[in-house]
Amino acid sequence: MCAIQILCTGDVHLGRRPSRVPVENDELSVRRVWDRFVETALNREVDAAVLTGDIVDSENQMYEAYGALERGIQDLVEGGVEVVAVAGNHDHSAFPRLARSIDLDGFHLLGQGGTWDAVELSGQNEEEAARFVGWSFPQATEHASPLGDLALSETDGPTVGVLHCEVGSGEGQYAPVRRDALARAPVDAWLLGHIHAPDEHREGGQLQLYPGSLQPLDPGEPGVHGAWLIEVAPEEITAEKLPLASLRYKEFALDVTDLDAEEEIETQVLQSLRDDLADLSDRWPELSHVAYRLAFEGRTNLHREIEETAGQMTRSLQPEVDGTTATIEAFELETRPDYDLEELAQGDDPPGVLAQLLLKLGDGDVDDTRVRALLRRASKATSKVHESSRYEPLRHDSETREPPDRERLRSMLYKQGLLLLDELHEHRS
Amino acid sequence: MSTSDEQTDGVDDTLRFDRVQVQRFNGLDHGLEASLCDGVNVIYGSNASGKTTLAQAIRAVLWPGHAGDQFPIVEAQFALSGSTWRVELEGDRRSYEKDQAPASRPDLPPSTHGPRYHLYLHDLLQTEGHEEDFARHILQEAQGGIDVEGTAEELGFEVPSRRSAQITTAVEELRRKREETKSDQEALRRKERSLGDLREKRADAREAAQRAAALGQAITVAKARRNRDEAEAALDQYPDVMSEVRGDEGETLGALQEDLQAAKDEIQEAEEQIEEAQETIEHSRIPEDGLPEGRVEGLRTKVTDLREQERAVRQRREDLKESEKKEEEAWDRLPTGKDKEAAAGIDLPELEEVEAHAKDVQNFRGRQEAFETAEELFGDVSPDTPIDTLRDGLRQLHRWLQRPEPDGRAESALQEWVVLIGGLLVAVAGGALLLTGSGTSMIVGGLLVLLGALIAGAEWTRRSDVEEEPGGRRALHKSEFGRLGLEGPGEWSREAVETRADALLEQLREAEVATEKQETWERLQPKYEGLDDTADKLEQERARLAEEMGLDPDVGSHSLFVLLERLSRWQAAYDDLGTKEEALEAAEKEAEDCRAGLTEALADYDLGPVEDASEAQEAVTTLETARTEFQEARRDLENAEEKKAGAIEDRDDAQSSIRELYERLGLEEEAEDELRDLASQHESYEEAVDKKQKADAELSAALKQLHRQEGHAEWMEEATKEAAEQELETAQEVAEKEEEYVQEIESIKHDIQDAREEGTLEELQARYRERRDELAEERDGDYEKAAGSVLAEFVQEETRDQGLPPVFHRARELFAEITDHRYKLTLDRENAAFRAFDQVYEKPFDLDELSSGTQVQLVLAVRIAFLETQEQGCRAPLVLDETLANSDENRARAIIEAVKTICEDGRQVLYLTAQADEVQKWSAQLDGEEGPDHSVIPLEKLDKRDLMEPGGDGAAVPVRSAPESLPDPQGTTHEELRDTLDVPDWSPRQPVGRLHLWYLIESPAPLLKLIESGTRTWGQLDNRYQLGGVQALPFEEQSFRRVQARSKAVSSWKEAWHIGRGQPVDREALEETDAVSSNYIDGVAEIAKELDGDAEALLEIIRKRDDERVQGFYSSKADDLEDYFLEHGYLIRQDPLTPEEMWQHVLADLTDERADGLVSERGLERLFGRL
Repeated sequence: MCAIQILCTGDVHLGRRPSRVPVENDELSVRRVWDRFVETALNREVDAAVLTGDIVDSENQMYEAYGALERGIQDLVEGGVEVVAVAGNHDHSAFPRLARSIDLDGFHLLGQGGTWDAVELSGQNEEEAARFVGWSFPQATEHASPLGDLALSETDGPTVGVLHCEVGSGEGQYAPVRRDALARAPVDAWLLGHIHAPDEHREGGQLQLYPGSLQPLDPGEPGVHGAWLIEVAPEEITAEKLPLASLRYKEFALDVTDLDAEEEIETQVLQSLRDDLADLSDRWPELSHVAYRLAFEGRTNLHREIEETAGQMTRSLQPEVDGTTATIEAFELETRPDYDLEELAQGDDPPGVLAQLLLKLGDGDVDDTRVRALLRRASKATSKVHESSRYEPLRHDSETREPPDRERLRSMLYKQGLLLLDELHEHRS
Repeated sequence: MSTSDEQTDGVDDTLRFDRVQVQRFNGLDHGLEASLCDGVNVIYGSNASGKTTLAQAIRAVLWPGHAGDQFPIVEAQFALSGSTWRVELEGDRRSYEKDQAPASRPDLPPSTHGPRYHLYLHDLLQTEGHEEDFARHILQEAQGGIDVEGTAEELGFEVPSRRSAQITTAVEELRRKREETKSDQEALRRKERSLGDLREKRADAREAAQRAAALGQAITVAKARRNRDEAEAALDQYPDVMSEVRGDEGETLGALQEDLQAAKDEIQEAEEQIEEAQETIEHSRIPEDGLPEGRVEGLRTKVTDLREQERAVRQRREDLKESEKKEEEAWDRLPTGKDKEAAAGIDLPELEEVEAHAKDVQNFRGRQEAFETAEELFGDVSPDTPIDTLRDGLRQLHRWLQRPEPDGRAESALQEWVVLIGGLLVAVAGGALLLTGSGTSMIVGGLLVLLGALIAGAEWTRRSDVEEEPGGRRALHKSEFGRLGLEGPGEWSREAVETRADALLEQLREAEVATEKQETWERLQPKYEGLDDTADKLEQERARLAEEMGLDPDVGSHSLFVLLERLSRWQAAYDDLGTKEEALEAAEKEAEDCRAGLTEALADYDLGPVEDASEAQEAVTTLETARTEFQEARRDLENAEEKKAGAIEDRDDAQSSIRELYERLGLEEEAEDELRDLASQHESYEEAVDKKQKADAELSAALKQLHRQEGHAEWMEEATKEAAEQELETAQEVAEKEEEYVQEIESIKHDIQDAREEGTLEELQARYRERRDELAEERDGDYEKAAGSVLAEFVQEETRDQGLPPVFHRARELFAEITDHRYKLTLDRENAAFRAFDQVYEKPFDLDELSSGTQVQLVLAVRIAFLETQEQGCRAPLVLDETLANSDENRARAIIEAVKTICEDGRQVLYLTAQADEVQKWSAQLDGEEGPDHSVIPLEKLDKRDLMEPGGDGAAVPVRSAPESLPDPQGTTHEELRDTLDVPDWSPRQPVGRLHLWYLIESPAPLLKLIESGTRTWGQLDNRYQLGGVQALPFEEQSFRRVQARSKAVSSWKEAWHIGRGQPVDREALEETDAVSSNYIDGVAEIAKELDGDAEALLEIIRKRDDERVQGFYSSKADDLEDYFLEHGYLIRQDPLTPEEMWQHVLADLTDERADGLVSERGLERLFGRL
């Protein structure tokens, strides 16, 4: 082998638990998967472990996450694996703290204080070497792109950039960088952090890899998660995903057009889930739990029945196939009524008026006076809910603080409109 | 739609009476005549004054069949379609004239509609059902029947009022716990950062502890050193020679001196003893060489021999004396006259021979004595009276006594028994003598036995005779007795006879004894006479013996034997005497020899001569004593000399020792005091030496220990105690904290370890997120319901009135007009009932919830709408009969308002009332005002006293509260109008509908126009707009949209204001909870009203209980009330928005309006400035 082998991860968020999964299942804890990451690095005898930031969650960085981080890094270094890390917005203080407290030659925290740093590591047979350059968050937010300060001397071997940043428009508070700016840097591969969805992107031959969260943390992080095995050779850099995550969030669409009776719903759901679970369990042996988000699709008149049944199954049902368990964490009704809205909209009676509104809401025609008025009133009505004392705690939490936005309102109106229409239509017929 | 427009068109189909004359009606002559105006005709009159008659008459002239059969005579004149009509009613006949020409009946509403034109106002409120019928009718007419509201309800499109806030609390609690844990961890982190400091401090403390230990030791060293120095100083006080002093020198010297003295004394004593011994030896009878061995012992043996011999001599002499005495005595017992020598030579007969002779003599004399006694007893004895005579005489006497005359027989019997027993006793006594006695006594005994037997036998015999012979023959026996010649009894009485018999018996007994004696002596006498031969023989024997012994031949036989014995004894004594004398002589000689020997031996020692053993003994003892003394003296001498020699040695030793002693201590001899002084100091000196050694050892050990201490420093070895102590105190203070630091460090480390391992925060975070998401889901559900509700409402609004018949729209229009657009008529489809929506207070009301005035207005509106829509022919006058209702100001006003509206439409109204004040109200309200014509037609003279004075106290309140004179819009600013119009303040707790238009309309002209038309509030204006569009308003469309935008801004502002503030509490809200009892409801509702429904302020007052209306209100009930307020949104635990936030809220809401240029920020600022 004439390449440097790297096991890379980021956005581990030690100290946090994945949401909407059974809390009693310790197998799903982030710590457990982090341990698995360390084991994998040691077992595969990689040359380096690269951590792209947010390894600990700032909410719990003080001890619980910190302890796990410290232990993991100690194990890695003591096991002969060099550790290259940059601090992300979550662990901007935890990493420097660790660097101060442990005295390990094999641990390289790059770019402390927001200044680019480099370290050169060689492979096991000392023939090949790679340079790692990195930049760490000096505080929780950074509005400027850190790339502006990057100045690199020329080198013979490959250079790997390690950075926690928000790739995109170049605006934001988490070290926003543009893709082209990344591509312009004299770096052969970027190992990035911050975005939890894994993304292997090549820009002009340059690898721009977001390893994604090691273990998905909420339903917004579907798909296969894990660490990445990267081989850095002078001529080529390859990346391979190692699905270490024990949890998977999955959106699962279920067409209910053919369902005729309420009783069939549960069977249909359960059967579909079991089939899918069997498939997943077969393909991803590390997987221990799948949290499904069901989307009911198709045309049906069983809206209410489906809603009721799915509501009962959510978070209570727990099928198991070959040791892999599953839950339904939520469901969405995306079914359509089995009648023609256009036709209905011809009338000026309530179903007609409603159908007219639904057509507009469905088209997203928010400039229509009536739709605007409706949205305004819905906004007011939901504001009342939002402001009610019952939901006060939600207003203190940044994640639930915002009232529903216009799009959300539109979608809600549309969904409720369909339900209402369904009922009105039924009454009329 | 306005009357004037119709009139100008010339299509007026309204029928208006000008004049009515009732001559006879209902069988009564009236003579009523009234001129009526086109508008409202208030017909006043007390009961039975003809009001109803007038009304009935009008109906009768229009619709036949209503006139009754009592021949009415009525004449009336009315205008219709531009013509003047005259009608006469007489009985059944009606005649019409149109423009003074006969004409047929005009086109009038069908007679069945007649009653519809006569409305009894009080009935409108009482007879329920009509309106429902109308409502139902309207619904029937409405097309479709899709119930959007019901469906929405079915779908749960209503944000539920959630009573339980458990999950909210749970989320809040979890968030709090998470924050707590975080802050704990931060605190721990701060502690962790202090670990370095703590460790340094701990090291310092540890060092200080070591130093303290060393200092402790240094103090010990200092103390030891001080002790050592003191000991040394103490030792230096003694002279050097003290090391030589042993301490016992005093005693030693004393002892030596004593020894010396003792030796000297002893020498002297020995010399005295020597002298004394030598003197003793010199004066002793013992020769210088002493006595030969065994000399004294030999002498003592000789003395013993001598004493023995002297004792033997004394014994022989005593023996001799005794023999001489015995011989003398034996001699004395012999008859004198005999020579001893001769006597000694007599050869004496055999003693046995003499002894036998003496015995024979003795026997002879015994037999002789026995015979002499018998002769004395029995010889020469014979009875006086023959015994047989005595026996016969006694027998006769006894037989006499046995013959008749038995008296005293028992006594004689007793006597007889005495005799018998006496006889027997004699015999027994004799027997006893016979058995025990010997010789004579045996004989006497035998005699006595015999005598006794005789007595007893004679008595026995007599008794047998007496019993055999019976009495009565006394004389015979007397004679028989006499014949015997015995002495008689003296007299022959029983006693005498008995006495005589006893005597005779005694006589008989004596006679019998004498007879016996006589017989015995006769038998013994021959033997007595034979004794004389024996006596002779014995005499001869005696004489022979006397002779033989040389004794007097006359000596008796007995003496012979005695003399023989005495003589033989003397002969023996005499022989013994001789032997004794010889023994004495031999003994005396031997003793003398012995004594002489002794005397000789003793003479050598200057002792003797000795006369006897005692003297000899004494001399020997003296010699022995002398020998002992001599020997002792010799021994004493030796001893004394030996002793002297020893004592001299001792003396020399002592002197030498004393000398050495002094020399050793370096003292002059004789310096005894100095020596003793030194010796006495020895012990304390030794102590001082010990003390110093000990102190040296201690100091050395302490120093060693100090060297071993980790905190040891050079200076400590020489430090003073005080200096070390001072340092120690400082060090201890620091050292004391070590444990504290250690514990603190351990505790922090432990806590850190725990914090790293436990995962509490992670769990709390997860749990919090889970619960939060749950709550958020619930909120999403509520959002959806709210959105659904909005949608349903929207659709409902858009389609609500669709399909409703024109009658409903007309009724709504009328009702809005009547109420100055305050109310909007709605139809409750489900319940088929009319409702009124208060545009100002933005609240819907059921019919029965409305005030009676508004109810009448609503009902009137509905009735008239129906009337109108179904009206055929012409518009006939309306008769409103209020005659039965009491005067109610509000109601009256409402009715007047309604009637005015109706009249404004062109219809003629006849208003019947019996209330004088009502007339006044009409006048007050209609006089001098633009509006319909009106006239008051009193059917009798009005009593001035019934009328209230107008104005002042506000009793007669004009229906429209508009100022009586509105200013000229040209010359008045908007600001001035505020006061002029008396614009009420508005608070966000009030509905926006209640907002006075002054706030919204800045241009005085349209504002005043609206006010003038009775439209004062936004609610009214909005209602007008909704009913009639912009056309119904004194605005251009754009201007009205501006007003609309402003009202929206106020709504938005009100909404923003309500965030963090609960809804206003009203009575209704208070009535819904159990927390306010009926006792308090009025008071609390009143307070709530005063506070504009501010729940928090209300609760404060209730809790304080200062206000008398809530005194005694339970605090638990206040808590319940608070819970209720919280649950129902009257009270909100949230901070209200800041003015800035409210502003932002409003701006956000009015984005579109701002974009359309309907309202500017400045305009809004002005608007809110006014509020």
